[in-house]
Amino acid sequence: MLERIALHQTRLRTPGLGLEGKGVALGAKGLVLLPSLDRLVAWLSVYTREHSLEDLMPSLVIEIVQSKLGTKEITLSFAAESSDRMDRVAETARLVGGFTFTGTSRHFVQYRDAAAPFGYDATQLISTDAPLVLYHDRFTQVYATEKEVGLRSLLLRLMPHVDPSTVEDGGPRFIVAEQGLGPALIHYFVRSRVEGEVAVGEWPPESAFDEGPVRRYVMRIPDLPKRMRPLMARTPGLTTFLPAGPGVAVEMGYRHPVALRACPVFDPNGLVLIRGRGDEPWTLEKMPQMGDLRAFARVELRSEGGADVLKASATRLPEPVRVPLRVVPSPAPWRNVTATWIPPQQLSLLRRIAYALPHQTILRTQVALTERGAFLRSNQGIEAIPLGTFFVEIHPNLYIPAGYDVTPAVAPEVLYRALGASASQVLFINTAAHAIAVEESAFSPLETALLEAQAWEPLVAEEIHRALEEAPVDLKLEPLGVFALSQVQPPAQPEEPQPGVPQLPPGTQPPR
Amino acid sequence: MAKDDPQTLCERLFSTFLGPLVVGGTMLPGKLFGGKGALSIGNHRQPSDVDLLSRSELTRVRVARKLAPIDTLDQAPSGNEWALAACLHDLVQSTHPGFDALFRRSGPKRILDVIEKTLERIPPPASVGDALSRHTWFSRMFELARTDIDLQWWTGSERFLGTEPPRRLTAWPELRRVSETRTPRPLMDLPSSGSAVDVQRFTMVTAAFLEKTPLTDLATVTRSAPVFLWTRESLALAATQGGRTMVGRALGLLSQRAVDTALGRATKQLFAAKAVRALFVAVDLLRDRALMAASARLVGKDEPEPLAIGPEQNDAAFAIGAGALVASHWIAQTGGGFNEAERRAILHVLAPAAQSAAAREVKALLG
Repeated sequence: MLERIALHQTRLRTPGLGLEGKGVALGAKGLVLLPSLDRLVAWLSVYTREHSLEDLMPSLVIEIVQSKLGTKEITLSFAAESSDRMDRVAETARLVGGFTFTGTSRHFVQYRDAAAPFGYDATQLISTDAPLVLYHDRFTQVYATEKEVGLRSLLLRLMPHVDPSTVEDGGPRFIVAEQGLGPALIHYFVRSRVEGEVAVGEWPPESAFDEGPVRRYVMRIPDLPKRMRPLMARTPGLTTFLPAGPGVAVEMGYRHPVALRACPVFDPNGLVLIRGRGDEPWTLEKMPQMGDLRAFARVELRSEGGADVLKASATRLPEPVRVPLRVVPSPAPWRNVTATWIPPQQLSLLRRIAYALPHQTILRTQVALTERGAFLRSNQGIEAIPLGTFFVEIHPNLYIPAGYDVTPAVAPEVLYRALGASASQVLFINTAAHAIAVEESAFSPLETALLEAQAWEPLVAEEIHRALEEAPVDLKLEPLGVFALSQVQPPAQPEEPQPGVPQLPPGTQPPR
Repeated sequence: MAKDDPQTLCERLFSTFLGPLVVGGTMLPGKLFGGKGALSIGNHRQPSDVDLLSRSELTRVRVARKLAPIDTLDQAPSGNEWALAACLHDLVQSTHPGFDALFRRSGPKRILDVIEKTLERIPPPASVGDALSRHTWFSRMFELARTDIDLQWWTGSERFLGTEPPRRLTAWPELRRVSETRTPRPLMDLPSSGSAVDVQRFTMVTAAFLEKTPLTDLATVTRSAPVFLWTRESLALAATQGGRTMVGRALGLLSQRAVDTALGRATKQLFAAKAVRALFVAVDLLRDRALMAASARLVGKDEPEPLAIGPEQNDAAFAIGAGALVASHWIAQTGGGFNEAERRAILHVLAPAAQSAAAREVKALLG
């Protein structure tokens, strides 16, 4: 019933079938015949893994068709447009066990394959009123349309597969909390400094026995901390969803069989939450107004015993509320460690280490010598000089000890302003929160300091000289005295012969 | 007469003699210790002068680090080191000019007898580390020197041995035309300079002392007296890998020609005595020196200069020839851990010395 189209053949018998630029027989439509619904899902799954359905969507129609023998099959038709698109579709259909056809209205012939690179033409057309006639080299079949299947409804009916690995996936999340859990969860997030937005969604009552619409809190968390993911996955009343595309999310712990991101059937302004376990999806036709989580934090009022407002008794400016500055250990990693404070007791070590420092370190390090010790700064990092207390520059000319933080946690600019130092001063705050100001002009390059031999530098040479010198051994004599030999007595004889003393090595006994 | 307790002896010995011997400065030996006193100090005795002790440790570490990569040493001497220090003290005092007097001339002989008997009671070093420790205490023994002053003035002259002349003799130097000549006398010159001690006997006791600190013995191998001879202790030290390495480094600090002369002379005596086992140790040291010399010539040179020795049959040529001969055989038999190119280059460098007349003499002696 089918014949292969030959090269340069121009005339075709099948109505609506023509030759495109490459010589391939192509109708206005393409059609994929699939034996069952699971094959359709498989086709969608495989196709959307690599390609988007966006270009097919305007013309995509899924229908359940019935042959004269009563068998039901599924067709998926779309605008053929080009042999490139048809090739992609045919390739996927071949993988999942489907057949690809092309035609225009009613008669569809088999699309080209390896045996017929230019496609097929029907030699004899069947005369029928049926809406669909398919010509294949193995069969010719007439189908009647039973019903149309919407892609969106199909995707929503598909049950997601269990996939625990998605619990560890990063990225934003939607968390749906039952009405009773919502406030507590919001408070938990606010207390844990988790940023996000929250809205309240309303769903119609599930049965006539429910009092009213079901309200649930819908939260969008851009970055849920890792430690909270298991909690959100396992707590009853909380359901976490991972966005799977614009306007659609799939429950955490499950994966939809079709790549929803490639299926533009969901309204980006709404939200469809596909749940696992066979539960029906939650749909919000329009995403409700979302507010910052912090706006919903628990609010507590003062007791009513006191006055509502304390009025100022005078018009003058009140005294500023000041709290002492504290420096506390911080677990944050060290960054920008660019200064060190070497106390006077460790200056001798600095002298010694100066000889071992590489040229680049000496070149870029600045030193200021004060009565409290030496302050060294290096924009490239001071770790090359492993002495003293390391300091982190939190603001230009403001240093705090590395591994520490200041409380109250004010901005570095505020702290610098509060210390009231002039621009020509460099401030170092030690662990006792005591600030020391060193004039910027007091810093000079370490290289220059070494070469200019400042006050402490000559001590180095002197000490080293003293340490390395070897004084001659000068023998001086004193008079022997009257009883010079009084102590000159041979040693006492040992009580018993001494055992053999180990030699180097044992057994080497050369003759003398 | 009341005897000093060991701590007092230890304090006096360290502050007047052992400390200055290590760090330098004025050494002022005093009353003799004798055998009993030397051995009575014992182990775990520490002087109270912590500053001097600390400085001496620093100096000792510096001495030790020339030979081995170590950073710490026992701060205080061990019992044997105290005894050796006391013996050296008495040895120095035996040259005191004060013994060159009536009824006192037998004093030095008695002192040397007691020193010899005391040294017999001191065991040789028990380990390479022990040898190194002893060396750090006594490495400068041949550097100690007494300054003798010959003073002349317009009406006379006088010699002051290890003492300063009184001020009255040096006053008004221009008017009285005072001239002062200072002559340093090292340890081995002391017996011949105003002393009553027998020079030969003094040299023998000094050699016996050096037996107890073999690393010092080898590190001063180029000394004129006592002449270096292989001893049981020095051979025992050189027989170990670590000891031989340290000895090699110590010898590397000296004049190589003088070292070769001393080692050649001492090794020849072993040949003459047919001390085969001792010869193996001595020849191993000469082999290592020959390899070091050859390796040094290979560094950075495409065509290294061969290790040539002249036609003369002296002790140095003997040492170099013996070392080169044994090194060539050793490389040919074991490879010596060198790759093929290095082996070829080293054998090329050693070939003239290994085929010299001295080497042939060694070959004949080895049979």
